Amino acid sequence: MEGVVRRWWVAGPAVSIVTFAVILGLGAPAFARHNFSMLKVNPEVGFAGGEVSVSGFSYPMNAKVAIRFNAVDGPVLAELDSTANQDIGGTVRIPTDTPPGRYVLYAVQSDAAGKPNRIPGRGAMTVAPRDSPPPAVPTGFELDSRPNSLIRSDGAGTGQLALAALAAFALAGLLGLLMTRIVVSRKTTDSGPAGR
Amino acid sequence: MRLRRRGLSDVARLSLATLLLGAPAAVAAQPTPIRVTSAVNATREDVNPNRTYAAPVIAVDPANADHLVAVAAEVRSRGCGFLRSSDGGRTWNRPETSPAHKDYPFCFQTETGPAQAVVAFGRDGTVYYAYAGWDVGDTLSDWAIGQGGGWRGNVSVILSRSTDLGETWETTVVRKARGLVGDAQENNRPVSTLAVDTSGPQDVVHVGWKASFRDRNRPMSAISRDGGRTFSEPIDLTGGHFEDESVRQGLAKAAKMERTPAVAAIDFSWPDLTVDGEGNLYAVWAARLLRGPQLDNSGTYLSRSSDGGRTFTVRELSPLPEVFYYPVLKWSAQGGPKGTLHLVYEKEGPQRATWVQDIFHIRSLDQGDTWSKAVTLNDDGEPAKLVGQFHPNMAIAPNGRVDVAWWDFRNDGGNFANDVYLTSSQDNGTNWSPNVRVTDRSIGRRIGVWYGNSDIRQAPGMIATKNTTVIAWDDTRNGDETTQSQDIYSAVAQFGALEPGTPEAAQYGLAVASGVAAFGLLFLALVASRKRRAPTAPG
Repeated sequence: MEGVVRRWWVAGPAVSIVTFAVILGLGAPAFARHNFSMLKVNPEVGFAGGEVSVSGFSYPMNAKVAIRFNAVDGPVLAELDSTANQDIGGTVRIPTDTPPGRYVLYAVQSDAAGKPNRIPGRGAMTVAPRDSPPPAVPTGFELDSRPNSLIRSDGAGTGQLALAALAAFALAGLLGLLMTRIVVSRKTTDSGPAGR
Repeated sequence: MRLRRRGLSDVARLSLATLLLGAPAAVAAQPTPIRVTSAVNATREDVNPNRTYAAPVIAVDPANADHLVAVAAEVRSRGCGFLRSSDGGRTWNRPETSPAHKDYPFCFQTETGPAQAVVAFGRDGTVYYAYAGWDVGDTLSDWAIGQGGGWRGNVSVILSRSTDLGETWETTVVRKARGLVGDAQENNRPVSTLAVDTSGPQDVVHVGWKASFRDRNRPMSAISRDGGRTFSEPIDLTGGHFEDESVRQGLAKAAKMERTPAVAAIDFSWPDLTVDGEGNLYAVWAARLLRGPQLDNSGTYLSRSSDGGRTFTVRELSPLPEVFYYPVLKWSAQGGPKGTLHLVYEKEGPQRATWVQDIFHIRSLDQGDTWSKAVTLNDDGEPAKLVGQFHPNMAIAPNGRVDVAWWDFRNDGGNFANDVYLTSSQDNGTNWSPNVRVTDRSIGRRIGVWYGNSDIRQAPGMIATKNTTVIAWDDTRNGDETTQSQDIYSAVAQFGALEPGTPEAAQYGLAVASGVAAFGLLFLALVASRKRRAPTAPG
């Protein structure tokens, strides 16, 4: 039984990967317009002054790509050449004075005048202190607190409904009194001469 | 006697005053900030870790705002599923029956931008569902338009119709491409749009798609005047506009081409359709001469037909090189005797950096003859950060509110994650609310099929009711690098309090009845006590 379970543990992800690869194959001919430039940092946790690898795809062929630290116009950590396959790869050193925290590396492509001319690739990483575990920093996937239900109007307020009931009561009273008066006056008229 | 009369008169005055004070006061509607609920997993019934849902399209029953339906395409099974909600989008379920025609089980296509299938309501709760239908045999054509996934070969246009919220379906083949060979082959995909005109005695259903032939392609539509049972022959939405050589010369000049091309050399996009209150049909689509990444180098055009698609007038909306990417067109009854056409699209922002897009809105009060100046709808406000906004969608509420939602990377901290943002206009597109984040967490796009060279991505699905907008999107929060799972999530943006469970009129009716009944009881009690106290006549 344990063997069967173990086989499933192996087979399940394997089937998923193969199926997904097939789907990617099916999807490949899509005429994607947003060829987003992607950037990945490895490892995702590093140290100030330490080195990390960067790699990415979907960059213009044979172009210069600047890896900038924590801003589109941040310090340039490296300048990489994209390949004919539109990939980039290399190693960058994290600035030595970087406090622990979460940071973003940008892969920026610019025109001849140095103006960014294309949406940059972005890769996140955590800079950890050397002698302690990485700090708990937001990853960008935090869940916002939201209400579960919609606001529904209660309709008329209790006071308004009470006033409406009171008004109805008063109106009924008026009508009742009016009717009583009419009946009484008719009775008086009818019985008047006979009584005389 | 006088005193008694005065007393009665006082009672009358008091009663009248009470009556006036107690009359129900009209409560002025107060503008409410947009309030977004937590997201719900609309595809939670599917526990297959391989599930890869994409491209939600939703519709609301105009007669019952609690009844919603949605397309939920599942990429790995290549089918276009169906979801429904009976509580205004707070919970969703999947009926047993598929809307797909039994001979055309698949709909999945790999085009970036348009929906995988489309859905709309007609009258009496009738649901219409249209898709590009194919089966494995249809992809065995020698016609190498592309590869895989139905991209190759004959693809037909299918319309399904349900009058019981998806329990049962009737299907119609709108355009049959199956079995066509040689030069007659045609590839009808994507089926991008569905518009239903409910103003006449029967639903008039318009289906729109892109038809690719061996030597040309066209934005097309077909019309049904009997509630989707039968359809016209396909109608070319370009209406012969490019037969005029001077028009093609203009296109060639904009594309910096020396020779004026033949009509067949023009590459057209899929259309988006809408109908106005008089049954006029409008279509927006793109045309270009230079091929390349999708829609690049395109001009955007508007077709209008006042005779059910027999003839069209065509206007250029965005002369090259201004490209309106992924335009969405809707009509609203607000704004004047002809109503308003609203158009949203994405386009390069002020940084003029490739794919750093913004979301824009324009409108026309004269059936598309003239258009307002474009307004930027995203308010992230720091163009130097080179953040992109993509794939807008739009919904018009019955009270004329205009809501627009799109994919937005403003919160991306290096994860390649995006969010859905929303803005809304209460004055027919003159002023817009601050942007509101709809997704309750950013959606990681390093997994799933939104990107990663799959590019199965579309605008968020959305519908608008008087007080709410429901937005649906594909979401990878339950996936990882192994499973790559994608689900459909939805949330509700609320603009004002919903009507109470018991209608206000009924509440007042009950209050009035109680008042009258109370008086009646009091009156009876008085009469009874008087009778009891009255002296008995001597015998």
